[in-house]
Amino acid sequence: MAEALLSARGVGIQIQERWLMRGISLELFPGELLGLSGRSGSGKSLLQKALVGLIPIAEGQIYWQGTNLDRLELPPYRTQVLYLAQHPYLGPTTVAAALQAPFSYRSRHNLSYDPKRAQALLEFFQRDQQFLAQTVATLSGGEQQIVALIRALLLNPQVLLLDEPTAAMDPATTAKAEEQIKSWLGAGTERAALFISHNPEQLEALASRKVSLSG
Amino acid sequence: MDSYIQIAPQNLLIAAALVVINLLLSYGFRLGLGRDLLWASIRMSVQLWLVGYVLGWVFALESPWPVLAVSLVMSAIAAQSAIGRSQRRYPEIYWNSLVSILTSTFLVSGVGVLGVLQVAPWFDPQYWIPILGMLLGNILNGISLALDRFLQGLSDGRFRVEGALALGAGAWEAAHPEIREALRIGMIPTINSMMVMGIVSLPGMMTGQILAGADPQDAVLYQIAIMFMIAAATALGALAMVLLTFRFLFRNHRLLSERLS
Repeated sequence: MAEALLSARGVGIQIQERWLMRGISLELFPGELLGLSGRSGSGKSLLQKALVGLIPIAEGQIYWQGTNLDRLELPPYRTQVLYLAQHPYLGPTTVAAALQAPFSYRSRHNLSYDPKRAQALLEFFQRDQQFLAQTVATLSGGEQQIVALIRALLLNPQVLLLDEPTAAMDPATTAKAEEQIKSWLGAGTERAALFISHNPEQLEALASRKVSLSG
Repeated sequence: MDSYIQIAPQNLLIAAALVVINLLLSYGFRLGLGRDLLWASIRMSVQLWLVGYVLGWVFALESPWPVLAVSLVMSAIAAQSAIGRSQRRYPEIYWNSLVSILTSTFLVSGVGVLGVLQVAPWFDPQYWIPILGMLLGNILNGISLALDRFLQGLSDGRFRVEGALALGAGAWEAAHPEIREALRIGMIPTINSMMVMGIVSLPGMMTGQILAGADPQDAVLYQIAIMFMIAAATALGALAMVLLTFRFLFRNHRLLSERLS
């Protein structure tokens, strides 16, 4: 088997002196969609945030392609390993501005916003040009997840950490989102995803491997 | 200098009587204003009376050391007051406040006495102490407002900041809206007072000089110079405080939110 892209070894997370998890190890290999389950409050989201260095770990190590996270410049790393929060923050602006915002960051200077690709994705989700001019605040939770997913796909990451990305979507939209995630994953052999879901059937259908976080 | 009238101690009682009238009104109408007003009046009188003594003593010594000592004490108290009203704190906050205040005041006062006024010797307390005092009073407000806004902004905007970081923004890019807003808020009082100066308000220093018999034209020049210095020092102090706080709250492009309480 190939070397793991992303691995956690004996990771423990502490918040205000309380251990939320300890001794967590997992490896994410190229080409796989690893399903992550566990009861509410078991720390799945925290683990994903720790994997992109948004929260500190109290013990253990995280490696990206063999390099310890502590030694990585995080902004460029986060362009490769993209964390998609369950309740994405899209800003007080319009959908178009929300989609374009991350392209202005210095870490993404070599990537530019592709309006044609954005339009194609919007059409796939049955949203027209007018949708782009809408303010984010007027969108439903499911629509915000659509925008966040489209944005994530436009940013072309190597690894996606998805935190219940379809939780607020209706079944038809969920199917479309799953299709997009699968086709993104299939478009490169070095890609991988870590997918959190509370829906066992969704993980059964999507994941190539599953781990459960009990703690 | 005998071009001004000295206040006789018994005549000061007439001014104090104005406050007493207000105290009686407060008790009469049960306004609950009495205690604070009384305490503030007593504090103000005692503090100023003591300061008069200290300054008289410092003026007489004609040495830079007592001047520096008084400056440090004033700065330390200002640093404490600047963070005193803030709802949110973090461990190093006092030192950050002191460093911001010292750098901004000493730099700007230095330019003031050496460049603008060309005072010799530079530490002549007649110039140094009032300038420092005026700068401190304003910087203190600037730092206090900017800091409060910055911490509040990061706390309220935590999801926005973390969202931007997750998308690949650097710490500076992610916090930039909060930094800008904090500095804007910190400068509002200074900019507002400059806008209406001379029209709505006659500034205290200028009125003081005119009362002391100075030519109004000279007083105006002093006031303009001091306002430039206040604006520069306030901007510098607020910026230093926000930058030090930023440095403390972000490490390797991560918001250390546990420090935000």
